[in-house]
Amino acid sequence: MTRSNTTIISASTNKGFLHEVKKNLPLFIMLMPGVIILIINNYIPMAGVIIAFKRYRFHGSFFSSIIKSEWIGFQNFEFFFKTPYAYQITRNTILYNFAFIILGLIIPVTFAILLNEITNKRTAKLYQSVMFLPYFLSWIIVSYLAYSLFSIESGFINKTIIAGLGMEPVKWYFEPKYWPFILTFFQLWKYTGYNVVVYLAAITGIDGEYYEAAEIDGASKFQQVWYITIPLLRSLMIIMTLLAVGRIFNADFGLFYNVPRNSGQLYPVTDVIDTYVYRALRNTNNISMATAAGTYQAVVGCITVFTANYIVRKIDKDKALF
Amino acid sequence: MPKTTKIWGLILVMVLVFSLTLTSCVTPSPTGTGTTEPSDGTPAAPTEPTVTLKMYLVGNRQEPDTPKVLEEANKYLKDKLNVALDLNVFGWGDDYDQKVNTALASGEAIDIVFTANWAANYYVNAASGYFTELNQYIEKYPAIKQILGEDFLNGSALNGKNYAVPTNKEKVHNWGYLVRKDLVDKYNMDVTGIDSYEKIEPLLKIVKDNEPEITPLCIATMDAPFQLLDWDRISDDDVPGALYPDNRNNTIINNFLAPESIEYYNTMRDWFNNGYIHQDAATMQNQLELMKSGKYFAASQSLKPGKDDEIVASTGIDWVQIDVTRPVMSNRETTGALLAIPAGSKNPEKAFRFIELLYTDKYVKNLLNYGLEDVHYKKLSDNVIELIDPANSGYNPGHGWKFGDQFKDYLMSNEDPQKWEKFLAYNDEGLALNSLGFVFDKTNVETQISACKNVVQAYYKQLFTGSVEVEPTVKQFEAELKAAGVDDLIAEMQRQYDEWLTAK
Amino acid sequence: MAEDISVQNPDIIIEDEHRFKTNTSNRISPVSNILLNILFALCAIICIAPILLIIMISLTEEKEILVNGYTFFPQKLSLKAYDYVITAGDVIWRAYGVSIFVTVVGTLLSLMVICLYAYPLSRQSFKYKNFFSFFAYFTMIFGGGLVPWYMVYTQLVNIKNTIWILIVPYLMNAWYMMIMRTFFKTTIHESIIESAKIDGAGEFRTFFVIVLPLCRAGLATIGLFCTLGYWNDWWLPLVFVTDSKLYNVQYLMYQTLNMIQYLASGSAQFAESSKVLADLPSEGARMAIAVISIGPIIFAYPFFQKYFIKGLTIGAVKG
Repeated sequence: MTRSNTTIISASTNKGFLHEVKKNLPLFIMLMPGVIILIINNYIPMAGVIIAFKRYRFHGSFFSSIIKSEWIGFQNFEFFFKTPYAYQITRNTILYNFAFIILGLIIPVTFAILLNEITNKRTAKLYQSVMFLPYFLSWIIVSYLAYSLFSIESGFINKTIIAGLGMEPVKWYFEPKYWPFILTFFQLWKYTGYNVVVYLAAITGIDGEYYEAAEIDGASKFQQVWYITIPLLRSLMIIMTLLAVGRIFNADFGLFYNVPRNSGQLYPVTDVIDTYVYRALRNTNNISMATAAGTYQAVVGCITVFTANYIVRKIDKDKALF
Repeated sequence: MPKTTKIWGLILVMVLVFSLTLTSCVTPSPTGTGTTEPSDGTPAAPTEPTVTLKMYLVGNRQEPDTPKVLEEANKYLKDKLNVALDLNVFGWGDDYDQKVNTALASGEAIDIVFTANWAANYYVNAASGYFTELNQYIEKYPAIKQILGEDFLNGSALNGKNYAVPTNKEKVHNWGYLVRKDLVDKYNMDVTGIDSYEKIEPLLKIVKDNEPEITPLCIATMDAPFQLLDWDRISDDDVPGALYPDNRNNTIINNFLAPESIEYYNTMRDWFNNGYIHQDAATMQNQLELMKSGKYFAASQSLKPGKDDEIVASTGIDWVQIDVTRPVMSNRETTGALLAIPAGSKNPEKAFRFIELLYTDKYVKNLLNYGLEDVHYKKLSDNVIELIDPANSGYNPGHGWKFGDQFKDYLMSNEDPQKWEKFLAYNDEGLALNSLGFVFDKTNVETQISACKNVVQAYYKQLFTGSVEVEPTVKQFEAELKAAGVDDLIAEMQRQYDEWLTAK
Repeated sequence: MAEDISVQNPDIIIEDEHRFKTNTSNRISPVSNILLNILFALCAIICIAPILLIIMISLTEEKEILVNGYTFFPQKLSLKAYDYVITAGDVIWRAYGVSIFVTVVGTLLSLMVICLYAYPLSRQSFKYKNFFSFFAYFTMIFGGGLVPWYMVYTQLVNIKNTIWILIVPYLMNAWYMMIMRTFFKTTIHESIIESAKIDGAGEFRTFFVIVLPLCRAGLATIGLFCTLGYWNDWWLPLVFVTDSKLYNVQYLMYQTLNMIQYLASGSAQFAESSKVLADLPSEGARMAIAVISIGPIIFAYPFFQKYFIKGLTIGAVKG
């Protein structure tokens, strides 16, 4: 069955891209603005990836520079691997992203469902608005706030809470063991409100008749959520997760650099690919190595997202990204 | 899978097609400016269109009255060189490096940029071919060379080629401490005889014992008394590899693990335990800001004559300058403030002649630095001025040290009338280091450099501030530096340095 | 187009009322409700406290911050941190103007581009939906680097130093497009489109008159995200703008905060650092500019919110 299907599809594709355009002209016209912008903004610059494999030297103009610069293969990529920290930064990046993806799925979905159940809708609205606020604070400002909590000599926790309990002050910025939790907390704190919005909007779009019918059948609130809301949110949950999976090798630089105040003692648990690259290439203006860094992250992202998408397709073709 | 392959194929084709279109689109367009320049150095014929020179500087901000000042300047410049100036000043927070570097890499037509070892990556950009070679112009218009002296001018050259010209200002540096004058007076401290970093300890102790609200020593990131060891670094601050600052030999060593440095780490550890250093010092970010807060007694600083007066004005706190190290002339000064002409400039010769004016023409230099007479400043005498309402002035950019000949600047009424004489005397006092003019080519060891930088970044703050036990940390530091290839790096530095010495 | 939507509105309101009936009868128990309220009240406090703290710091006297650190209850209030705003008055108002223009125009255009792109991809019958989904998604993970991108906007489409450079690069966002596609997929059944076709409506008419109004919640969500995206952006001005007249509010904030970072990054060792020191903004001033940069955007949120939880509010009013 699959075999014959494939042949039919490929045969028809071969026959008729133009045919298809003719048939669905309005749809193609709709796509056009987006396609043009993607080509200009994204696809043309992609040709620049070549410089990741070259030693960029300036020769008159950017293009002649690309062509005339020496080809050095993968030498620009070496700085990722020839470092004692290669394992550490890769592990940290992946583990944090993994945690962020899982928690960034469970918590917003739960919150959206619960918010939807609060009886007084005005307070629900208020909670939701307030939870959005942290999104507006830049990581640098957040790092000031974090410092006012964790500063060894004058931080709120050491000065008020720990001193109040009569315990020894904790050297927060020297103790790696606390930081996976602190960073995860800040990440969730900043983005949960934002992600809740997507799911709330999706819940709003669910037809009320489903619940009505379920109620008549005597389904409890929990059962309604489990058998109606979650299945109907599944498409969105899968898409959001797949979107995040593609960036498994990219980290939020502001969070990992500013919030731990770039403290060297904490690198074993706070150093991620983006912060490492930043430190490695700061003051070097080496666009070849910078491009190599981006390319490396993208290739790994591609591989993971293709795999994930492939698995999703196997299970439910309709819910895949592409 | 055949479908995916097809998609990839399509994308590849598209990228190729569009990059080709792009290539054909961006053949340099004629800018309408004369490409042929008068080669004899006489003012241009009036028929020739005026060339506009685009100049990038880093500073506080684009002053609001810039258009007025430029209008005045351009009247003068039109007669003089038939050029007009388009001055763009980027703020300290504007990410000048990012802006300039992107423009340079894309070959944008900028005519003059400010660069230095600390701004817009002078060494890297010169080596990458982003700047026009200036030797022919320097020979043709020799005024700059005469003013700067060949040694100082060539201190910024790479392989005998000049890519930029330095400001004529103080040419040497030394290190020392700035300490709070009120406390020095209050406890009658003796600030003489401090000729190495640790000799300040008795002063710190007095403060610790008597002033519970004040932290004796201010350290933040690289701004630590470590600098008072004054390592003559071969590359960036956070890259291992340096010479002793006294010409004792020509052996490059790992300055982070040298005996003097380890002794320093131990001293800091003691001081940290004694409470001379803030508990949070390792995560402090800005020494200047801390000094301004009034909660610190002493801070290590790069010095020059009158530094204490200068800093009084900006902190509102009186400081006393303690000169600790001996003045030396190193690559730090020769590349401390430079003007370069980007390779994308269409009018390098005109640009150079304008730069020359900044060295030779007192009017232009002061116009750009202080603005218009009787609008932005009043002349008190021939060479002394007073700013009109400096706090709300429409033009007070503080450009003096960024270009040209600073000794041609007017003096402010509150400045030492002997300022320039003192600068000259200070310059003469300095020891010229052997490495002056040596530029390390990073090409072969870029991987090691980036790895070592990350190791240094992971350790230096704790060690510089004494926040951790020295011995185990240094051990780990050493092991990781080794793994990062520090030995290859230093061997390469030594090889290049030896070659350079022989050639010299 | 606007007219068409309003024509559709009565139906939708009826639908909302219908939903509100089911909502009121199908309520959770009072005990669960109290527990939920406690949970969310706690979350709300965690989220709002820092904002209040920042506002208070911006109003605290500088000396007090230095001595006592941050506090919710300063002994003495002072508006001094906002002096910076007053002295830089023109600059700030201009930047607000730029931000508001870019946000409004950018959001409208961007919503249009995104929806037009997402809709065909949501259609089961559209054969190339996978290709075009991938075509967009690929740009999310793969980029050519900064310099080629910069070249495109300085040479191919020369809009550097115009207001458009702050809008065009973000018009198409693959992430939002994918979410929108999912909204279309789940809200619009193919049967609706089929029946529209039978009634003789063209694709565009179907899209604007039937599909978009049904997806208001999705539109509001993506509209909100676009608004925030444009408002919060400082990267485009950083890369492309050299004319200070085109700086937006976020970029002003970025400048202020970055100045400290820049000086801390080792550059501070250069000889003239002391001159810069005078201009270093105080901690209060930094917080003040953070407050200012949030500014009016905080009011945009309730505007969008009413669309994606409209059904809920009606229930509350009538229940």
